[in-house]
Amino acid sequence: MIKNNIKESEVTDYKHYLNRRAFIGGGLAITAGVMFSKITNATTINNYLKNKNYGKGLEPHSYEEITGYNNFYEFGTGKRDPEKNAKNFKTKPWNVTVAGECKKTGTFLLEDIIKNQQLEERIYRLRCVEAWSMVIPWLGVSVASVLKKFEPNSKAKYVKFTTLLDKEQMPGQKRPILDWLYVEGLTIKEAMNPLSFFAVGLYGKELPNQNGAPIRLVVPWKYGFKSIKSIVKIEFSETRPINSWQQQAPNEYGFYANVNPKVDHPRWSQKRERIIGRGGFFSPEKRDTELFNGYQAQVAHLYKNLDLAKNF
Amino acid sequence: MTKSLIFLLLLSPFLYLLFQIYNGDLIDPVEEITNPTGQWAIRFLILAFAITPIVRITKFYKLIKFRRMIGVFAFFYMLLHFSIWLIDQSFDLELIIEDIKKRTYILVGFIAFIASLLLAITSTNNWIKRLKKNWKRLHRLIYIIVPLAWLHFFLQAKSDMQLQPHIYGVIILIFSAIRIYFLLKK
Repeated sequence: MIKNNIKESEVTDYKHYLNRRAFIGGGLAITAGVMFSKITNATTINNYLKNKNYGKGLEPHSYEEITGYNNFYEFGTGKRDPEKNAKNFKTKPWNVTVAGECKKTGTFLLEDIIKNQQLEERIYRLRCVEAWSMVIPWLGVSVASVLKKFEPNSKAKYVKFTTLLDKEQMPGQKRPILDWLYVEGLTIKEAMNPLSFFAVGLYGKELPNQNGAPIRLVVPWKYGFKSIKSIVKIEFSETRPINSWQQQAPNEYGFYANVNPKVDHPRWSQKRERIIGRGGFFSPEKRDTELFNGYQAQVAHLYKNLDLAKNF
Repeated sequence: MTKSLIFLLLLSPFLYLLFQIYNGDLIDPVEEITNPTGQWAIRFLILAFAITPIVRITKFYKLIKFRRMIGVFAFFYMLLHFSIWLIDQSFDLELIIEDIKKRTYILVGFIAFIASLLLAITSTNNWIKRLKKNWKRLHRLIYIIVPLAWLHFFLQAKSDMQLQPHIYGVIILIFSAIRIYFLLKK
């Protein structure tokens, strides 16, 4: 259930929620006050499950870090741009068109797509291709549970996702940085993997615009750019879609974009990653990047016969 | 008076960074300091490089007075840029060497930095006197530093962000052409 108006009691709930988090993870309590002032205009989402199968031992980043530091070129190329430029982005009503190799094609209201589905919270690590990472408590539904509703047929080998194209609302699209529309794709097996997630919120709130509202993909074993934001179209296809970054720079970005410390980006190493906001000024905290971002157990079987260095 | 004003102007990007750090605005200091310091370094480097040809054309000889200050500031921002790179490599010599070996733009930037270090050290009056004619020869390194710094900028730029490097490239070419013109005229 998504509520549009916000009540004092809900804000208090959120505070408690944060306190719980702080109790579990430690360290967040100090920032809770600051965050509290910033998020009061975000809408609370009630009735969701905390899926404890994901996020063991991960300490989520602060709301400010997650919503203040974004790569979302539709709203500008700077990490601070999306927060500023997405303020007035309209996400209601939101339609998603479903097309291609499935039985139930058409255009649907987002609410109708996710209604009757149990919202759950999953804490995932997001590893950006730029060698930094954050831990985010997403709220949403599994991709598989949504896609199955459209009854894809046997020709559906891939799923293609498209971001909204709207130069007025998304000022970043006025500059020819990418060949707008932003497109991403997964194999049907990747999409149906239990890890694949559609996020509609984070930290118990509706997804802030700068994080890809109102619905975005989250595929945590792949670099962040695969997790396409503000999705307006889902298309099942027999052929592999060409994702935007691959089209832009095929020598730097591939279709799979699986997190892999052994396959360097041409311009930098992928062996380690900066943990955003952690460590001192002169000693930013780093961690060794893990194959599939640490989700080997869930996804390694998808790539058994694949040369990961060639299919980066 | 003019000199202190220009000093402040050249310092202002650094002051802004300090302000951001003090304010706690930087979520990822490594990226958020690396980019602006690199940008200001190349801008001031090109500016220092442009002073001589500008003076030759405009005959506005007073400008020459500021050339050294601009050059030293360019180095100052390079030094900050370089230091953040060292921090990002956790001061680990193995990682530093690997980064230089593996990536052309790092190697190119590294050479430009070392050459600039020489120029910065010998920028004092004392060194000018001591090196006499050789000072001018040494400081012709600027003809290597500017293209290397540009190449570093060009190679690391995201494939989708090539506009700025191209503009800077054109500016460098124009001022190089003017410099060469006056050299040949002599």
